[in-house]
Amino acid sequence: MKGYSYAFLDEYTKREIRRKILKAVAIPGYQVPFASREMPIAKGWGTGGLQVTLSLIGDSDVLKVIDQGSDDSVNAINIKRLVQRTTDVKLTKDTKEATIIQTRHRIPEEDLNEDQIIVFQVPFPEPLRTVEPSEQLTRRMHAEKDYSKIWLYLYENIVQYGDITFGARYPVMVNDRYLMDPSPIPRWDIPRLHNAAFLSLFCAGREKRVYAIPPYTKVEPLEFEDYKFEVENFDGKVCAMCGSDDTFLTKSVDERGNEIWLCSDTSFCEKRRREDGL
Amino acid sequence: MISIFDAQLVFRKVLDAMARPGKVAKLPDIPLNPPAENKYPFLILFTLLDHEVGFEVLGAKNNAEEISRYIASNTGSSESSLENADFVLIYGGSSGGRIHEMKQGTLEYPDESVTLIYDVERIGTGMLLMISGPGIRAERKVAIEGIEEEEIRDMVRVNSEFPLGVDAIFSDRCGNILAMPRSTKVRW
Amino acid sequence: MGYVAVKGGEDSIKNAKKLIEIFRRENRLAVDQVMGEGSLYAPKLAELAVKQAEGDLMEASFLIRAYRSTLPRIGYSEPIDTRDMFVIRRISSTFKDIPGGQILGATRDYTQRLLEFEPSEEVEDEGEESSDASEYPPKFEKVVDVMRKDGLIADPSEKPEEPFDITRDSLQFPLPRSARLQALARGESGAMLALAYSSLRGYGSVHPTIAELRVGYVKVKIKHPYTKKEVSIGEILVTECEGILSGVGVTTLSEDVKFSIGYGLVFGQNERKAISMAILDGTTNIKEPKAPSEDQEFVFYHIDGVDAMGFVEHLKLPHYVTFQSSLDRAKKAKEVKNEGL
Repeated sequence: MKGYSYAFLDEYTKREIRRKILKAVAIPGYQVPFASREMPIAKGWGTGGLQVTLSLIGDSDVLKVIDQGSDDSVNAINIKRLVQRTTDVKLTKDTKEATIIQTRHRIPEEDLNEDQIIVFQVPFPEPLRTVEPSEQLTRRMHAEKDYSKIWLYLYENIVQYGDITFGARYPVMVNDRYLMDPSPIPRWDIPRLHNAAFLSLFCAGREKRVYAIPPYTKVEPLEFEDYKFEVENFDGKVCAMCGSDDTFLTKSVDERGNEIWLCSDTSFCEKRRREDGL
Repeated sequence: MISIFDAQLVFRKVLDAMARPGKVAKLPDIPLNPPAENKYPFLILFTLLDHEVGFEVLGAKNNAEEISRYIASNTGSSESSLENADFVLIYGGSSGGRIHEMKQGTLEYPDESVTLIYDVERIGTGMLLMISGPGIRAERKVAIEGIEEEEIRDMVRVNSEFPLGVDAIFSDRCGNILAMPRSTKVRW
Repeated sequence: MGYVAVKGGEDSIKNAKKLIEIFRRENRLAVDQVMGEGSLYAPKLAELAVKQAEGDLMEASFLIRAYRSTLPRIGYSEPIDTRDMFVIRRISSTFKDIPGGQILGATRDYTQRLLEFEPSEEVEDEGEESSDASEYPPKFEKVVDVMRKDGLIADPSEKPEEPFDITRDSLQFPLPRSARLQALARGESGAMLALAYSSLRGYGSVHPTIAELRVGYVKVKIKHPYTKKEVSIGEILVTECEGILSGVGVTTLSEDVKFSIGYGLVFGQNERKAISMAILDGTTNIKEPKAPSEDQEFVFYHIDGVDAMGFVEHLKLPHYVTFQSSLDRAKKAKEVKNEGL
């Protein structure tokens, strides 16, 4: 695209992000501050994920971008378009084909391998923000591995509601050292982060933080002895399109207004339907 | 200088190495003419350095100044004191104990620490190390020719108080690299 | 540009109206605000952005910011001494009479806010006394400089050093003053106004008296890359506010019994923001913050319009997966509650 650098960002920006990504990978779960740049899409709409993707991407990459698990979401398409306009990389909807997957709020259902990198869009990098608004204080808590405030919060959840009420953004402990916010992925996806074959990069553009989980790293959701972490329960519901009972489903309505449930990972759902001849 | 496309390729290899400690990655054979035998450490430096960070060179017997000038003029980065350097290029497989002087970060900002680039003879033979930790499935065997045992001992010592520590990349004459971030446990 | 000296209250207001007509350009002040929040001095581009955004000034500022980030950064200018300003408006609240006089300039401050359904009539030239237009106007001695000579002004709380660049380095609190001022200079006018207002009303202890408010043109100079001499690369219109951080009744003094200054400087004519900036410079310097306007993190994380707008509006993005997760939790909590009955 005329007038713009390859992958939109100038080399200084890319270099800074690249240096920070390397440090993030060296200290799993720790939030590295970086000087996030203005992007032509609004803050809160994926600028962090975008900056990481643009710093990683090269000619031989294949990019998949999803939002809520869907490749066809307007925002995902907008991001894909921007990347393609400034790089000309191959785009795909097939999880297996992608080398870089930028995602908002989901991990694709299919297994990812050692050659794949998943880039998460993060609105709130700080897992302690729920219990402490000040960055200075939360930084000190991470420095001292003092996570008592969040444990207290979880305990109060149980006392008040009978269980931990974190839906998405469930706090996890990485490498036995850092409390981390896995971004607003559902609890369903949390177990995928533990001991994964793939590299996970997380980036918050507005909050200006980047962090990482290297492959084969311990990632443990916080839980009590008697109140264990559990994933969402779909009560035996299946996907109305592909019949799946082992994927994350979301409630929807059909043309007649009846309640149906659908796979959030639309391309996997399509793939299964194709393979089953549905 | 290297092209933006080459920088991207080199970065992806370095990232892969850092994310999977001990995995041997191969840098692309990009033409360079440094005042040193091994050009590959310079590919890494040219990819990551600019005027916002400082560097140092240790163990270059005859032409330390030439090497520094080569790095500075190609990246815009400048030589800084050892305790402020963000990147240190080490020849001879040893910092002579000076690793203890380098930036290890603070508890609040452990990322503000040095990245070491060791110019080594050969990766795949030599001193055997068993490493484990994030990025490694269980345990991995690593062999490096051209690194002093004392240096590994010092590195382990410096990295004993995670998250403080240093992150190291080893680069040999054939373009092989491997990395050991501070999260890696080493035994031998 | 002719320079018209004004004297006397009523005459001042009449002349102010005249000057408004002289300077009138559609959306002049919107353009100035967008340059400030977009953090790029480019009046024609800002005008284009305002039109493209159909008058949505935040959207326009966003366009300018995004454009700014594509521009190559060649270097930094030399510090500008606003004492050299070509003043077109200049007032002081601390003293009735000041060296060079009070110059009302083009302002609506003293107009009656009545919607004009018909375009205003041509203002007649009543042959006001004016100085020779070919003469370069005299420089105006700064009110704070006069006060400084009298030993009334405290030294700045921080020693001058290399300014922090918030577009290059990430923020770490507490912020150095140069970082605070930079963040304020590009801050969203409305957010800054609300916070400054809160301080005046009592959520904070800063209630200033304006030593001087100046609007005028200053030259931007750089060091020539070859000759190393200072060269001017152009002029920009700025609004500068120097506020004495001591208010009506309450006299606030520094440790060495002097007055501290809150400083505001913005692109174009945006007096409201320059004053707000001076107030917030004062409030965010307070050692033991008690009010939101004094809490550095609270102020600096929330005054960036582009960040704020992006995040608030991102709520329009689909959130059905995360909401599904919340539904699951609500269901579970209900089950637990019912079990307990």
